[in-house]
Amino acid sequence: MTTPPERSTRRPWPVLTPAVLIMLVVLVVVLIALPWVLSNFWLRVATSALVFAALALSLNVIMGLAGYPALGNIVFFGVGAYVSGLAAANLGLPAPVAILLGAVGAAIYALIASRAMLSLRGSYFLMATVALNFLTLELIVVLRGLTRGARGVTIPPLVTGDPSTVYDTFYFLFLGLVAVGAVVLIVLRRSRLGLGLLAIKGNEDAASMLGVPTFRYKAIAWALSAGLAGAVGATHAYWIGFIDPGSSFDLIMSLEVFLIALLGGPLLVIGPIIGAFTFEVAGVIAWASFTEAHLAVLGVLMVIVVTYLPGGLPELPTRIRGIVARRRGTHGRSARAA
Amino acid sequence: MSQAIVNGILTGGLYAAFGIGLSLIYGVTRVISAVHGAFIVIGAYLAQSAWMAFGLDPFLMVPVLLVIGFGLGYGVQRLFIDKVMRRRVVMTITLTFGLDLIAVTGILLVFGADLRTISVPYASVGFDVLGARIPLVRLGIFAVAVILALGLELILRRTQIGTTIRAVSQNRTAAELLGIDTGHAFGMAHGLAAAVACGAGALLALIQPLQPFMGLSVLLIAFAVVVLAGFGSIAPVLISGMILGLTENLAGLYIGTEYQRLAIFVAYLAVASILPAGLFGRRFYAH
Amino acid sequence: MRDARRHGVSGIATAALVGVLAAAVSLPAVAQSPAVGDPIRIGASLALTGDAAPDSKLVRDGYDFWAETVNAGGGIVVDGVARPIELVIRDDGSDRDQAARLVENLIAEEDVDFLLAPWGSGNTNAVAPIAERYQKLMVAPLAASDEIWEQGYRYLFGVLPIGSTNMRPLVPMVQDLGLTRVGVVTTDDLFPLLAAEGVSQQAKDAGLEVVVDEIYPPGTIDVGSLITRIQEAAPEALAAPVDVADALVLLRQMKERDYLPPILAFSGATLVPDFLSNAGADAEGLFGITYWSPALPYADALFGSAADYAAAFEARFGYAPTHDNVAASISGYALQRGIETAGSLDTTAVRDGMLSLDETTVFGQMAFDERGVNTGVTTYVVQIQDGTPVIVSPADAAAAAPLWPIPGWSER
Repeated sequence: MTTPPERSTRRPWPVLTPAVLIMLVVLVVVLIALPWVLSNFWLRVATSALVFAALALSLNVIMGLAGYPALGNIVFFGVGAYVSGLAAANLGLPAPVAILLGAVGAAIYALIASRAMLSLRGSYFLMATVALNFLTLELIVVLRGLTRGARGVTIPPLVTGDPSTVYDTFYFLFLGLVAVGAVVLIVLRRSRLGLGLLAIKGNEDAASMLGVPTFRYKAIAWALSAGLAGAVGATHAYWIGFIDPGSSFDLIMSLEVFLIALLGGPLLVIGPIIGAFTFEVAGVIAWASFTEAHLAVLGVLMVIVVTYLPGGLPELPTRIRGIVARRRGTHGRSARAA
Repeated sequence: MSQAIVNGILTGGLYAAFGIGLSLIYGVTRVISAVHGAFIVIGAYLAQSAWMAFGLDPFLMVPVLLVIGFGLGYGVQRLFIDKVMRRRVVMTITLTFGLDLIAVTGILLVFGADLRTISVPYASVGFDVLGARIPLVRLGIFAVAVILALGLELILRRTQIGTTIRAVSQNRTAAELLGIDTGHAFGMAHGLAAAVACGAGALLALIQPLQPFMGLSVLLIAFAVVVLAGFGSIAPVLISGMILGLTENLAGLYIGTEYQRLAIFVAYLAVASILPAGLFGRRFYAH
Repeated sequence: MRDARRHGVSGIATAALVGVLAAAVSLPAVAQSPAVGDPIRIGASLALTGDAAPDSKLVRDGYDFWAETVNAGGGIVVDGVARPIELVIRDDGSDRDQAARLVENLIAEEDVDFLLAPWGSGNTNAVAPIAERYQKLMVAPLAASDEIWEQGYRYLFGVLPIGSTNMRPLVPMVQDLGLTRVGVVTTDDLFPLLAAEGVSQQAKDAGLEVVVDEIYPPGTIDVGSLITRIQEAAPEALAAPVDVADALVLLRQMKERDYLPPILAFSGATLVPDFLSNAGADAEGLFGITYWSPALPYADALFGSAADYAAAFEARFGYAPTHDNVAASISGYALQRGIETAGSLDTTAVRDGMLSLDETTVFGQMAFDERGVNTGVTTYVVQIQDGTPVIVSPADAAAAAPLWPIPGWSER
């Protein structure tokens, strides 16, 4: 058997060209302005998009940089939600402390798991993260004395007041987390650690031989990824107001985050943000028109992205141009390439 | 104790039948197929429908399901997976999960969300051996699961198709140079895998009420089985299935039933992290 | 698709039939023939697809039946104007985030006047804070989790008693039969855990011996070890407040093992059509818990008697209603009575109206305490006798005596 074709499609990192910089500035301005423009319903949609964007950014730390397909990364979202939720509900800790604890707890959980799991690669790692997610779910269920198990935890409100105040607060909290994720990725990318991670993504054995402390780098990356996901989970718990094991460790949500990261393509920072908003708006439309089949809509989207847009949304203009060109040029001929 | 061992082994046979196809697909195509659970559920629903419409015994439905499953697997491989097979696992898992969601929705729209069951007239028949009860249905399920596994092994080792599949899994480029239609060979492999999955669905329908969304839990069991067995080997899959069945039953009996499922995931992760190649070492069909 | 079919041609025919029946019942309202006003819009997010779809269907049918019955009688009279009900139902696909978002949308964009809750405590928990934030009244048919009612929600009402009381009536029945050894097994899920804890505690308080008390994961394929544990403990009565799918698995595997405790009681599952159709003859002799039966002498001005409700409901939907359906219909009716008492659609007035209610409905007595919990409902033990559910306890409502032991598998 030859080496598995796991990471044959490595893409160069896009540099911070003026075009990208302008996009970034426009994006920031638009994101900050949204609460003044949108109705409460659409603000809620936008907030969901930010949740997914932040999760996709956190996934990109381990997957985008180090190339580790952590499909079960939602486990850290759940751990963060539970640590902060229990800290708030049982110990009465204030929200900022609880959320911080959620992030730290998730990062520590990743460090513990890294011992056992970061020696696995590709498919093996992917399946192990899925197992970790469900193992953790079962733990939460079984340790009901501590976690309240399947009963779930009601989280005290983070802010009170009229709905608009509440929504604005959460919108900006999640926007802050997206910003944190973006900064982490940008700083990492320019650091020694980030270069090491990219080397690992390229060829881990070679990187190791060149003196990259692969295990340590991967563990740090995973802890950072988990910490961010944990903070998102913790904040999300306050937003929804109630957590239970099933909805905190939801594999479908993990798949959605995966898809958003793929939509982002090689644009590790802007990609997930645009991807998440595209996904959420498409979701609202899909939900309205295909209520019973909305999961199939997600499925079709996943199939299409993998089959026709493996490079994500940034590839879309090229693809469309390609199709148009093919229509004009090689019309009638079989233009099917492998 | 003897009862728990009997249960564990009998249920383990079924778990193995869930995992075998997944293991074969990965061994040959290097794709983890998340749509595998949906094949099992489709088989289960078809068996239930045949039972409801014609009173056909699910065991007799298995051969029909093998054919249907083969067609499904071959089609999915040729239409969807072929194009992206060489890409990273991120891509293939997203693709197959996408197909799974489409399949689940299809099941929901065709069969509805109501629970469906099969109750065969011999459901309460069984034998008492050494203080343990062996239900006839369970014994039948176990026997069919083992026959499916051995049949698959025979096809892979003794037939022209099997030789071709093993050749492409060993070295795709060389096989192509020899003029082997690799796309067809991969399709055959996925077809065989899906055939077993669909057949196993009939067995599942004999013991579990059917719901459109049950595929994920079945898929997780299949994951656990193949992680224990190491990808791409059949005999170890059978043993791994039984180990999981025993783990579940003995944990239920001695630790407490509430820890049954946790025990499965603990075994899964422990083996994955300590013995990444599975309990039996890395063995592929080509060897 | 299924919904489209339900509201299709055959739906219209049965709706017309229901209309005639309902009009006969609510003649007084029609006689006044007030002016017809704009509809009262009532929103609900339900899991029409996904895991919770079979349960949610019962709720949806209950809501629809209430709205259709009211509309057939002209609507709810507010300030001399008859206003029909317009249900605005959205599918959350069994997804909590989506449910929350849909409720948000129902309130903020769709401008509904009131809300009806989703199925189950978990989902109700996810949307209650939003209703609270916007100060919209919401009535929950099946949110029995004890905790939800300790949150101090002002605008949430529930028509069921809290979950931990669910299986308690089993205890006096078992005592009356002179039995002492009971067992409780349940799945690790919100309502099952509550009900199991409640009945287990009640049994201990009553001096019964709880010989087996087990929790197991919902959806377990192989419950062999659980059955071994039960067999070894040999309880004379076993309470298992699990959902329909888990009840079917437990029953099936007990049959494979040729074992059956002398008394086996599921909770509401025993009466759910999905359970009865799948279990078939195997359901004979099983005990269950219900808040309602068509045989009970309950009645109200809208639905007529409990038997009338059952007949009209079955004519409309093709299956006999369970307490889940009636609880959903009564949630709407509670809101209706609140509006009628208040004579307006103002939230505070309707809330006060609902709190002041103390009357008989087709579901039994209806009176809400300050938490919003209906304290009037009575819980009954039923048994499947000759294929039909019959109330066997408490004695004053019993239509038959409990038959035990349940005949073993070989005696059928």
